[in-house]
Amino acid sequence: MRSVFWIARRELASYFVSPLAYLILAVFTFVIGLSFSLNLISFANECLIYGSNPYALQQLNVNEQVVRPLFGGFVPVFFLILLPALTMRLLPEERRQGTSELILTSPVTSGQIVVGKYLGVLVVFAAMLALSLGLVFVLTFVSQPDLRVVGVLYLGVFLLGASFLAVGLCLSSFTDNQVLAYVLSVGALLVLWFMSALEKNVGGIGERAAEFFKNLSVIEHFPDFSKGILDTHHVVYYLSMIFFSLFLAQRVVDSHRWR
Amino acid sequence: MIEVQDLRKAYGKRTAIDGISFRVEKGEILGFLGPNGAGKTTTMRILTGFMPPTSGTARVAGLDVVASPREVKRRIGYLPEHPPLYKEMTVRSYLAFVARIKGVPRNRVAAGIASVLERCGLTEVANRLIGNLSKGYQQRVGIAQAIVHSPEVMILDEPTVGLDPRQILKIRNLIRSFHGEKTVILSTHIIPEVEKLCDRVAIINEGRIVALDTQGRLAERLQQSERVSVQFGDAADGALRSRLEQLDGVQTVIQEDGAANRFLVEARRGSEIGRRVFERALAERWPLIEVSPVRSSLEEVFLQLTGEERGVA
Repeated sequence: MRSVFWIARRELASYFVSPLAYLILAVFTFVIGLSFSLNLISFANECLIYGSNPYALQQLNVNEQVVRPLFGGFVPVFFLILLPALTMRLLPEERRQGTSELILTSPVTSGQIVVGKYLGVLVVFAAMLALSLGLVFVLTFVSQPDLRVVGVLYLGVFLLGASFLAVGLCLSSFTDNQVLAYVLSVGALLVLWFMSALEKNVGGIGERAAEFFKNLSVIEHFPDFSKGILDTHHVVYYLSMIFFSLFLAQRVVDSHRWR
Repeated sequence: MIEVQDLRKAYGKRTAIDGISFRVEKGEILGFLGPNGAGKTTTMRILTGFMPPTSGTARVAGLDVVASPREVKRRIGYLPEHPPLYKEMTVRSYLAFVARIKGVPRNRVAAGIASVLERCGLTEVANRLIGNLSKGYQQRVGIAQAIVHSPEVMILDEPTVGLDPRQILKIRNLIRSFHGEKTVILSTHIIPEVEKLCDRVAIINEGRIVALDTQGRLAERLQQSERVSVQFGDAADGALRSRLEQLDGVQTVIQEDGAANRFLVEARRGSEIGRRVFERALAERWPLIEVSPVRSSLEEVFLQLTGEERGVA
């Protein structure tokens, strides 16, 4: 278990010696901050306009109008584009600089390598999310957001991002080429994303098949979280996605020993 | 310390090593000598647990490398052909990382690193980024990495490749300093390196060990005849060649390339051909300038065994 920690720590440190991690963090914080400000301003305006109307006032809800859109809309797309950029180097880089020979001749298992690397990149992602918590903190000064809703929303976003990272890590294990790893990851995530479109656009696949594909879609499981609904079947979906991806990555890393 | 029995490794249809067996005793330095692609790296990768053999067994300190890989890996320090360095780390933090994943207990990491830095002459660059160091220093970091967990066995794949002569000397002295303390296998295709560093030499060609012995005995074994080089002055005539051929025990006389009056005389072993040539020259007043013995060098042994043309190396 110690080795997992040291592999994760080295991986984490390596992100912060190149501008990439800083850049991704900065872009994310800027974009989410901008959208938050716009939502907050429009919410404040509506409060001013309808404040005197008791019926309209009931319709105004800070959770609905400011907290929910925080990670709605563009954020999953943002993850789709940027998170594979974090994972594309994980395994190809080791092979490129020959350090895989060090790791694979050390007394660590393939599983420890994969989990260590995954935890390293997961911490970068968690840091990215943690930066956005500042916005929620600001909100508590001017309003009373439901912190349970905020908590569920963050859990959902974390699981969504974590599953994207796991898929990215998995696909990075297949190739020595970082660009290829990136394209493969984005492609795989897009396929997983649009599984649900099969249900809507392809007629005659049957109700059960449609339900099946909808449940496979990586994005269909997210909206409930943003409504503040904690449904275990969504949690199980993301966790099994992560588990399966890491398992596959471990098999691939292990298979490199046999070539 | 290391026992290898009939090791084979095939990559698809291509056989990289084909039945290699050898033993290395504790404290010994064994050199793998062979042309590129002979199977040196493959053998080392199997010993270090980087890849499994197709068949055969390899044991390090009595442990099978396939059955108990983690125990074996703890005991081995490995320097691959390209040192496995994280260029963005400092020397110190890199060595700390390696020590940790090799399972060095927490309380011994700092002391271990300090002694390794000292031994490899890295103390003054300890806090610099590896990527900014010269190739010689990077190579030393690679060796430091291989000994930071005090392994009993070191496996070094071409430890001096691509270095300048002074750096080579330093690395060789460093490796030499492990003699008697650690069991070392190193591979190279530089013959003087083996002559200077190794107790025994294994010559590998096309996936097989074609010879394994001390270098002195290797040379001796291959030398079935005694050879001298004979140089005459300008006054020599063609008859001298046939006079040489008539000497007792002489097998062949070859005129050497580019020198009209220089002959390579090969004679039966133990016929003391040098003395005979000299005595005859004295008696018959040959215009003799030089008689010198020709020893079979490791280089010749190598070329002979690996089937390349003489004088090409």
